[in-house]
Amino acid sequence: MTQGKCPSCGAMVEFTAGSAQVVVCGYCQTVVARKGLDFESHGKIGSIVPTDSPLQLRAEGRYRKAAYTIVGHLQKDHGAGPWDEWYVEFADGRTGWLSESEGAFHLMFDMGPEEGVALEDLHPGERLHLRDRAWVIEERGHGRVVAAAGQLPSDVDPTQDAWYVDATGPKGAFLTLDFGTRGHSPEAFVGEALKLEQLGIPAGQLRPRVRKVELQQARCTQCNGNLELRAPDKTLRVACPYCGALLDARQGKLSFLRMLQKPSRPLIIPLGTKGKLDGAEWICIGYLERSCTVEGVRYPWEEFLLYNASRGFVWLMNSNGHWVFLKPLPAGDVSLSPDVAAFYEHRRYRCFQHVTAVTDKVLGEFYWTVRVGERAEASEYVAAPYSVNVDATDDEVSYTHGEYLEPEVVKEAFGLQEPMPQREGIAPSQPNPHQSGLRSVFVWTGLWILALFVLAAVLSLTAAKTVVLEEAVVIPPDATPGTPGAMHFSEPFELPKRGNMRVEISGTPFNEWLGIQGDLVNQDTNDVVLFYEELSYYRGNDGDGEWTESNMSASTYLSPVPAGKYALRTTASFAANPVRPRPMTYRVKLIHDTPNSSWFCFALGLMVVGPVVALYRSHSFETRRWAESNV
Amino acid sequence: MKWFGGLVLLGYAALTISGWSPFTKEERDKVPGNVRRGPGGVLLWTGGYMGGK
Repeated sequence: MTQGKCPSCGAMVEFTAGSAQVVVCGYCQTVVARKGLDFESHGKIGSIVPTDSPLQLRAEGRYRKAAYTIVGHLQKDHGAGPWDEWYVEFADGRTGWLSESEGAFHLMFDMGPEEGVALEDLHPGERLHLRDRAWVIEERGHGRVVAAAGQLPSDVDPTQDAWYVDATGPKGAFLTLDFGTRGHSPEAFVGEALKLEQLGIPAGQLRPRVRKVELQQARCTQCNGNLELRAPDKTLRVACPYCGALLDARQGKLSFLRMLQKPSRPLIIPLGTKGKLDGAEWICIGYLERSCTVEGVRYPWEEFLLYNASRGFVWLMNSNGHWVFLKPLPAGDVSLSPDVAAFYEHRRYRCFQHVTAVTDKVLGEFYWTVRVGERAEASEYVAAPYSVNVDATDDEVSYTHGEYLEPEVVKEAFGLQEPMPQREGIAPSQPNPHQSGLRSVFVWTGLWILALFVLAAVLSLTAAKTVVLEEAVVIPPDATPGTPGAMHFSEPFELPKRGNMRVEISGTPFNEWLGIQGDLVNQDTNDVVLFYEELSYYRGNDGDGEWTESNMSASTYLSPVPAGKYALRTTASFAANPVRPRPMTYRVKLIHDTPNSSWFCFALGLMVVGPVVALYRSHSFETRRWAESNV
Repeated sequence: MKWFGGLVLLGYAALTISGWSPFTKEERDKVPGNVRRGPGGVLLWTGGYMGGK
């Protein structure tokens, strides 16, 4: 530890961190640098502005079992409000930086300069490969150090506007390329995103989380309406709900920027409404109306900004009565094939649309410097009910993960009294109502088909299937068709029980037809069952070569006949041919009590009707969904 | 589908067991009482012909 007096005011300053080269005097804000054993003044720096940060100097934490202490504090600004960066020194001598943005923390370590990288080559949304890892550039920006406190590793110059590029990698990996004022060879800082509890800082060493900035004017500068800011520590822009004035909110002051057009109707979720979603209580603090224009048609949608002190900001989007709950997502966690597909958490999201989204109306509070007319290239990738959304501007790209919500869920979550707007059309990530039942339909169909096969086998095995008659019939060459000369009477046969009958007839007519009239006669009751089947065979030659047409066998089922003694009379009919060279023959076979396979086929057909209809409806829904895609 | 498949199965069982064949062109008739019988008691019925082209 090195102690000494501030060269400017004489107050005691001390270096406790071995890595620190400068310390900011707590009394006069002089940047004191050590020069050997002497201290020298390097000018003054602004005082830290109170923010919502839970961190503070001298807090001690543990990261992966290594103890560290927060020894320095910087506040940077690029004109949109300050953000905090904390300098930490580990017990083992390592140093790092803890940065904060919108409730998330990033612990970063200096990895040295990155040669051959130029600022102008890096654009948000692009991918790069550095330090054996793939990264997605999320932001390219610049800022000045406007305030400092504690001990720092190097001098701070409030006049220097330094450029940086932030990128994310898989599993929370984070990269900052600090270009300083140079446009090349940045300093690379690599680390990871951490939650507050992962910083290992005891609760007693954290600042109370709810620490509201005392706005000097909590009233609209234009209409004097009471604004009641709900996230004053985060808010950079306020759109007055009474008069539509857009106000800048910085360092406890509101200043008028411009008048905006107010929404034409009351908000579905009024500002200040609280609701429970995704296991947390949210308050609606902002409203945006955005739109895109495709082929001359304007498509508007609404976005409600929700805030929870520990979870940060999320969105509820309403488009044509369809609601999507959107949460921020690190770009590095998504593997993206632009305009084709996105892969996130083992799920493939298909690109649905790519539009230029324009902000048309704003109301309430926002954590960024929102502007009417703000444009962003928006892409949506869907895997219903989820979606991955990419919004890209020149300086920043943000990823969000969406989940489709039923309107009633939103209504219930926020206790809304008014009826929700009717849904129109199909939303990109709307769940296919026919798909959820598809699996059940297929499972049940499979089970019933299996049961059908089992039943068919049982019925087939238990059926008698007795061949009660099988004989060949010869028609004399001189027989006249349809007359008793072409008739044949079978020997009588017994049917022991009531049952149906399968008739099989086969023959070998040559270049002619043969009709067989069958009469199954009950010898006791004189009841007759009549049937008729026809055989034919034709062969010939034409310009295309040889052809044949044949129907050499036929079969039919007869409905059940009672038990008893029967005989079969068959009568042949054919084209009369006085010079028929040889007799015609045909065979008749009667099988008693045999299952009709037509019923099996019919039942099988009915069984597959369900899946076919379900598939058709599901496919039709998807077709209508993707008809709206512009990719 | 949960119940429909069961109904189809019941229908199939009923139709198969009954042996009913509604889609054949069979006809039912009666042999007149004055038809003589041949050897084996077969009714030598030569009337009632309906088939042919």
